[in-house]
Order: sequence, then C-alpha cells, then structure tokens
Amino acid sequence: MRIPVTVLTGYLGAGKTTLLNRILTENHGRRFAVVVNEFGEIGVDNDLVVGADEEIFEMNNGCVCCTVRGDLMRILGNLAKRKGAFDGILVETTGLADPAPVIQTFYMDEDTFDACALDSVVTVVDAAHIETQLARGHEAVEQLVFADLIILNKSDLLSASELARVQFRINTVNPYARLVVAERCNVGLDIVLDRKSFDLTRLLSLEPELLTGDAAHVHDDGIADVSLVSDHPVDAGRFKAWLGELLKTKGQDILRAKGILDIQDSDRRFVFQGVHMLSEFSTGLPWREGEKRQSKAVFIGRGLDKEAITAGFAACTGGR
Amino acid sequence: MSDDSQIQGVSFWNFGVHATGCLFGTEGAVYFTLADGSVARVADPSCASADRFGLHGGGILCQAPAPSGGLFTGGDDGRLVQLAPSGESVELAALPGQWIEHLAVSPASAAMAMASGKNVFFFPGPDASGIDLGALPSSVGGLAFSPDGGLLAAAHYGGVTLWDFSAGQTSLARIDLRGLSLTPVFDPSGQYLAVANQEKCVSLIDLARNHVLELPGYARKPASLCWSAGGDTLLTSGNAGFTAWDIDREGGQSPLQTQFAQQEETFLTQVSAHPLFPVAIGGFSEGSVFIAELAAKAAVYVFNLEAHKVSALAWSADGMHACGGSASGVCFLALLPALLGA
Repeated sequence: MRIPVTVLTGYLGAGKTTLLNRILTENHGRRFAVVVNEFGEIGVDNDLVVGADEEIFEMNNGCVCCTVRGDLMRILGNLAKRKGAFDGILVETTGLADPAPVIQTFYMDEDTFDACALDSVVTVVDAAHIETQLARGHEAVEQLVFADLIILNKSDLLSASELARVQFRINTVNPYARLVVAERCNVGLDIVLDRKSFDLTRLLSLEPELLTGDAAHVHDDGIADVSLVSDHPVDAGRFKAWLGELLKTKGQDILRAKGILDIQDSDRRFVFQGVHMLSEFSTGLPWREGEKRQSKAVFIGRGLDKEAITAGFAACTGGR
Repeated sequence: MSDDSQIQGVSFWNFGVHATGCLFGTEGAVYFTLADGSVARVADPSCASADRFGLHGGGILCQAPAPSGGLFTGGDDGRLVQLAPSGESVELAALPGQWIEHLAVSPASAAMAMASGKNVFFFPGPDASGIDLGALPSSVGGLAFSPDGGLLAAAHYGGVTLWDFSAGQTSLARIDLRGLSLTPVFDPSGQYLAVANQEKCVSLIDLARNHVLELPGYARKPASLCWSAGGDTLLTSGNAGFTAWDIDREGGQSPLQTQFAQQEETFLTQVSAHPLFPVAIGGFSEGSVFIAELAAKAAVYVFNLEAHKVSALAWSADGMHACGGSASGVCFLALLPALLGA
C-alpha cells in the first residue's frame, strides 16, 4: 500500500494553514506527517512535522517545465521508511508555489512513486481576493488549474452575487475541479481526504462542474480549456503517438490533460492524464452494459491551438 | 523466510520496522539502525542474541561506525548520537527542526562529517566539535571521505563539492555535473569518485586527470554504489540485476558495463563489495539476497528476507561476515562460508 499524499496549495492568506490545522486537530483517529515551509504556523504538537525548502530542480532533458521538488523526494523517501507511524502525508506549499513540480515529483522519481500515491491537490482560495490574484500573476492561475478540489474560503466576506461571480470566474479557469464554498475552511474532511484523484483506474467520468457546451473557453489570463468528445472508438496506438508528440512539442503550455477513451474491442475504459510533458496511461474501469461509450479528453493550458488539437484527436478516431 | 531461516551460518531477526542501515563496529559488534529511532545490536556475531537501544525520537536516517567502536547515528529528530560499545549513548550535536541525513567517517583520519539540509559539518577528530563548512547550492545527497581521509565529497544538485583538508587548511573545489547527484563513493586508490545521478546514470570522476565520464544504461536511479576490493570494478544497483563497470586503470579505455543475475519483476536495490575478495552481495526489491562472483560476472541466490525490499547491506572489515536488512525489519547476519556455499 502506497502512502496517500494530499497537497495543500493556495495563495498567501487564503487559509491553507487553517485547513491544515483542522485536519490535524479534528477527531478522525488518523495520524499525518506534515511537510510545511513555516514551522511556526502549525497549531498542534505533532512530532511528524517536517520543514521543507521547496528546492525545485530542472531535469536533465533541458525542458524548463520538467521540474521536480528535490526536497520532497528526500522527505517522502525518508517518511516512507516510517510506514505505520502515520496514515497519510500532507504537503503544504508556499503561497506562490506552482503545483506542477510537486505533482511531477511523483511521476519523475520512481522511489517516490513506489512509496507514495498522490491523492489530491487541494487549492484554498480567498474569495475576496482571488480575482485580483488571478489578474496579478500566473501563480494563482496555476494553483486553480492543477487543483482537483478548490475550497472557496472566506465566502462570508462576499455578497451572494459577488460569490456567484467569483465561482464563475474560478470555473472558467478550471471547470473540472470540485468547488466547495467555505468559511474558515469549514469543509468536511471526507471531502478533502481520500479523494484518489490521481488514481486513473478509478476515473469514471470527465464532466465540467458548471460550464457545458462550448468546447473551448479563453480568458483574459490566456488560460483556455479544450474539451473533446467523440462517439467513435479511439485507436489506442495512434492516440498515444499523437498525445506523446503533442506534449513533447506543446507540453510547456499544456498544464493539465486528462481523458477517458473508448478503445475499439475493449470492454474497459482507457484513461490518461498529463502534467506538462509527463503523461500516464492506464486501463480504467469496465464499461457497464448498455452504457453509452464515449471518448472524452480535456486540455487546459495557455495559447492552445484548439483547431489543431481537435483535428489531431479526430484523426485518432479514424478521422470520423 | 520459510526454509531460508534454517541456513547454517546465517542468523535472522525481525525487528518489525524498516532497517535504514547496518554496519559492523570496529569492536566487532553488528548494528542495525531502524526507522523507529532505535538501534539493534548483536554484540557477539557468534551468538544470535540482539539488544535494542532507543536513540532517537524519530527515524534514524544515517549511520557510520565510530573509530572507537560503536556507531554514530543521525536522525529526523535533528540529533547526532554516539552509541558506545558499553551501551551508553551521548548526544554530539542537535539541530532542532532539521534532519541529519548523511554521515561519513574516515577510518584513516578519524574525522567525521555530517549533513543536514544544505549544510555540511566537519568534525576533525573524535572529541572535536563540528565546524560548519557552509551551505551548498542544494540539499546534500551524500557524503564520503577519500581513503586517506584528505578529501571530503558532498553530492548535491549541480555536482559535487570537494573539501581538501590534507594541506593543513581547508580548500574547496566544485565539480559540475548535470542534475541531482547522490551517493559519492571513492575507489580504494582515491583516484576515482563515482556519483549516482537521479536521472538513471552514474558519473565517474577521474580526480587525477580531472575528467568526468557519464555511465548510462540504467532502468532506475542507481542509488547504491560500491567499488570492488581492488578498485577494478564499480558495482551499482539500478537495473534488474547487478550492474558492473570494469575500469581500465592502465589503458584508459572507457568502462565496460556488464549486467548479470537479472531477475524478473524485481530490481537490485543494494549492493556491497567484499573488502578483500572479488565478491559482492546484492539485495533485490522482492527480498532476495544474491552472492556475486565478480570475475565470472555471475551471482547465485542465497536467501530471501520475507519478500521485503532489501534496504541495507554491509561487510565486516575482515570480510568474514555480511549483514543486511529489509524494509520490513527482517535482518540477517551471515558467515562468508555460508554465503559462498549457497
């Protein structure tokens, strides 16, 4: 059994530490090892709190987006030796951190992958300031794009209409993450923990939270999502080759990719996910009898060529 | 261990937690360091009884034999501790909130070095206090003294930093290498320094010729490295079997890689060369332990540590015993004839 790791991210002051302290103090009978950047902020006496240094290393392939957290490799590797002393690991990133190197660490270091399973990336958002933060820099954008759970915190500071506007804005950046409205991070921990969001074998559907219809949404921050749907079975070999080439050439701009494919002559879903240039494929859950088989894929990134991606995907379905 | 537990000349223990290291003290005792902060000691290798010492609040991350007997341990409680053969322990350094991840001791000079995060501390002698050698560009991935104790190497992102203590004062040199370097190991002559690289290769540094060779051909990160007794062969983990690089010390030919004893659906995690003979012991991710004959580039199965990843291996200085441990805490001590007779 690999140790589940939950990554907590969010802009400065959004409430990450509040959420962390809630997870650590609530009576759930579980013990966590915590990797933090600031020791002082943890409100409980926990002997498994580890200070991290956010050492981001480029890999030798020369690609600037292929970065990993060197400190996390060491820390998770050593924590894994204490298996049984805790039930999960929480990693809190700094407010300005790009979550990609954290996620990529799990896929680029085999020791980390063998010992630990990335469970989810939870992004805590300050409802009152997220719009300004999104306009100010790319960090807030990346934190939303890489999240599978977004906690819209401090919602009590906004009126209902303001809150609806912020929700819509977040959804335009990442329509695929689960969005939960909260005050002082008062979300049920069953929502935060055990999400298994990166476990491809459990991926059943790929539905946007709110937005539907339009296949691509472009925003003022340059982030766009391209969603693809096909009722025709996909040729697995052709798709792998196409995706590999797409990520190799455009992976710097493609932040996230995910998909569930219907493969000809297969009773099981074929699933994939990608972070920048990295991709992972797996055989997913079987299609149920009578279930409508569809292939769906989504790409979120900057400056995506919707037409080229759509055409490339179509070619994998035999061009139909 | 099924039938393996009955092998004559081999003793097994299950300490119940991950064995982070093992070593032979200069006094002859065997030490297994464990992830619960304790050390298990077999004071007399001819007798199977082990006693246990709780030394750290967290896990033990590194260990090295103390020149006066016993061992030094560094832990994730930020403490450096010495356990004496008498069983008494003393705290030598404390860095609250930090991890002490790497230790190296020079049998030649009795100097010691430890690394915590980016910082390396040098202890010139047994009773000397630590000198902070300063912060490196990134966290340290391993420490090693040269055989004469004159050089200290620290691996990190971007290469290796070398401190030269031989001239009476400390001088520093940096060897630039791509990516994240780990686990520096000097050959017995001190001419070569082998360094593992995170990205599936080994860098071989010829210190005499100031030349670096990249040795590729790995399926995984080659995290365990050692030199054969004569220094003719560099042995590493990182593949489905033993990986050996024969070094042409005279002719200067490029090292030749041989992989042998490849196993299916597992990989070599630990390798340790015999201190006197062309023999090595290797451990696999599924618990198998093999003994290798380096001249023949062949290895035979000896026993299995209850299917748990082999996490540590070591030889005694006289080469008469080998010890090892696993991720589950199953550990062994074996007599050389028992291993060779397999």
